[in-house]
Amino acid sequence: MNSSAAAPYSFSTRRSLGWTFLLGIVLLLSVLASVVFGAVSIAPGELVRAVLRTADANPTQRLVVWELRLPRAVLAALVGGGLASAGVAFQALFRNALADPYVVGASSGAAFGATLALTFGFTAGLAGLGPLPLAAFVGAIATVLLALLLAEAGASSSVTSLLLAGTALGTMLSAATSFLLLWRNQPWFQAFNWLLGSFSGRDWSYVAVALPYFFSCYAVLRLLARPLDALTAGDEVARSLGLSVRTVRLVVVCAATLAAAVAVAVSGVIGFVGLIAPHLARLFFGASHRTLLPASALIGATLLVWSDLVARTVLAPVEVPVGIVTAALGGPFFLYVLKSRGGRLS
Amino acid sequence: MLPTPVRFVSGSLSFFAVLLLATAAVMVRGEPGWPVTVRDALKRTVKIDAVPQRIVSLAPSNTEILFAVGAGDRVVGVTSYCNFPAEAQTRPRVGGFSGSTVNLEALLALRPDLVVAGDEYHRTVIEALTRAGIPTVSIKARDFNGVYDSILTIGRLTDRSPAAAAVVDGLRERVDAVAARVAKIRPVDRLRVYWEVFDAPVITTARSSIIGQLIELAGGLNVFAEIDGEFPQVSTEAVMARDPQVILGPDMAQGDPLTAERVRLRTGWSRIDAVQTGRVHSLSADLTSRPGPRLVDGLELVAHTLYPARFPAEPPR
Repeated sequence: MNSSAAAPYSFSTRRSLGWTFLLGIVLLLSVLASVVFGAVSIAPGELVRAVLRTADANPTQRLVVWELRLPRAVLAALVGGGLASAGVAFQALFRNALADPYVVGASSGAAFGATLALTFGFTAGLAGLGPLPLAAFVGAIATVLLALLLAEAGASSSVTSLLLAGTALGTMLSAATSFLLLWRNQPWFQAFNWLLGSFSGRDWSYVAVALPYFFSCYAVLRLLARPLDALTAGDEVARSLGLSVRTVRLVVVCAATLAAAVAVAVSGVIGFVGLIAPHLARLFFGASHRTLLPASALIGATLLVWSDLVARTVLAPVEVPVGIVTAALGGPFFLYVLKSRGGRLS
Repeated sequence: MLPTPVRFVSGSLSFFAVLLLATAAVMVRGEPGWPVTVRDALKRTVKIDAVPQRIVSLAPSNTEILFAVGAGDRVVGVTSYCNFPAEAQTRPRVGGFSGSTVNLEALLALRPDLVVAGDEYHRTVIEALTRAGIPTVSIKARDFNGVYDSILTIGRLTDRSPAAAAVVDGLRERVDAVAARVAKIRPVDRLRVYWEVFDAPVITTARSSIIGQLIELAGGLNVFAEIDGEFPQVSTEAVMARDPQVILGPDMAQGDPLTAERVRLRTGWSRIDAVQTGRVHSLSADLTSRPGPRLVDGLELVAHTLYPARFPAEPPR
């Protein structure tokens, strides 16, 4: 691994390491900001006491900082990082800069699972996940597996068939979800909240559940960084480099989908983070996945931490679903790409 | 000229024919005060030619009002949510609550001559029925005065105005009685109330909703009264900061039941005054959200729950 090779790496490894470290600092500062600001303002002196958990700290404020704000921020960072990693993986896989973590039907499957649980009142939980998150998780995984099966059954085993299968399933599941909601005349706000994503009421138990999944998925994808580079050049090129395309594709889809499914299970369907973060990372770090993956993950984490902060403070005490904030960021971002970069995304 | 007996017979027959026709005309033109023209909640002008004999109600509140003014025996169709009085449950169902669940064919098969609907959310149904030539009136009430208007309007539509006026007078008396007792509560004794519509996400109610008004009329201080919108979603932090002394909520099938033990398990909620004193109650959703005659029962229920010493009588559930 020649660390000073000019192309295709935009930075040398040491420089990019420095920038990644900087991104990490920015993320930590964002989490700190998330703890400082909230729907209720706390005076700086009291805030410091609450954070340091000193003996004279106000117990309510200690609770707000350590049990309400901090777990939210940490979870937002994990989900943002997970979605961004999955986004990078799918964009490499489909060689399409508009691919996001839900493109193979994960979000529709999750929404359908969650709505089934709501409509029929499921009560079974598993591994720390309540019935709703569990159903969403199972729905997402099942849908993607089905899409994989359908794609394999098709004539060509190219990624296009996977995309088509995912889109077809997504459409059918959307219709089924809407039907369920109308049929039983459910209160829409719970489903709505789910479909728009929210970190409201998420405590440390969610973090405990999500942490191992996100870290393992990220690790798998990071290990596959060079195969991902090869895949972006095309299936033929990758095969000629000695890559087992089918196996790599399967592993990548599984890891990325797992990350997306866990993300939806703990926080609902949050869009745009998995789409914007990889692009921002590519703008500054180039297309090599060795640097792109950690950079995207950190940028995605920071983005979502700030989005959640905005979601709960902009209209305080009213909370806005975080998916609305990320969508508000996504639109202008794409307009910017259109105007200033002529539509070129990398 | 015809012979005299023939002329006499034809003359009498004509006379009796005219008499018969005149009597029929008088009978058809019928009762005084009819036809009736009303301007409904959607600002539509609706004309009803004769006293309706086959009425369909598209909202539980309307059903309760119809029965309360004494027109219940003329109700031929209700919704699946119309559960009061018990007699209402024996009528055929034409749909659920939202407009999209109303089965127009089933409705039309009942041959109604008056349909009493809800407001904006029934707009498509109302327009379809109007096109089918069935008089449809939209009823909407946002507060107690609106409820009184609804009762009087339905009374007029069903030719039961005196009964409707009596119902309204009775309700007004009870509301005034509650208000009089509430006025005696010192401001410092008023309780901070948090009404929880839903737990995940946390959804509460502001001043503009019916339940928001009930809380204030019953002498409670809704901690989220000043927020825009009827049912805003809020942060847990905000609930903790406002530290309500009583937590109330509707008893609905969905979601976990609202009890102090359950609320205590939520992260951060154990510090709230209401949870520490155990003042967490779930109240009948039917009584506290339907803009009909039983809304006063709901008011008395809220008052009794908040200030049991001042409102000792347990209202009917």
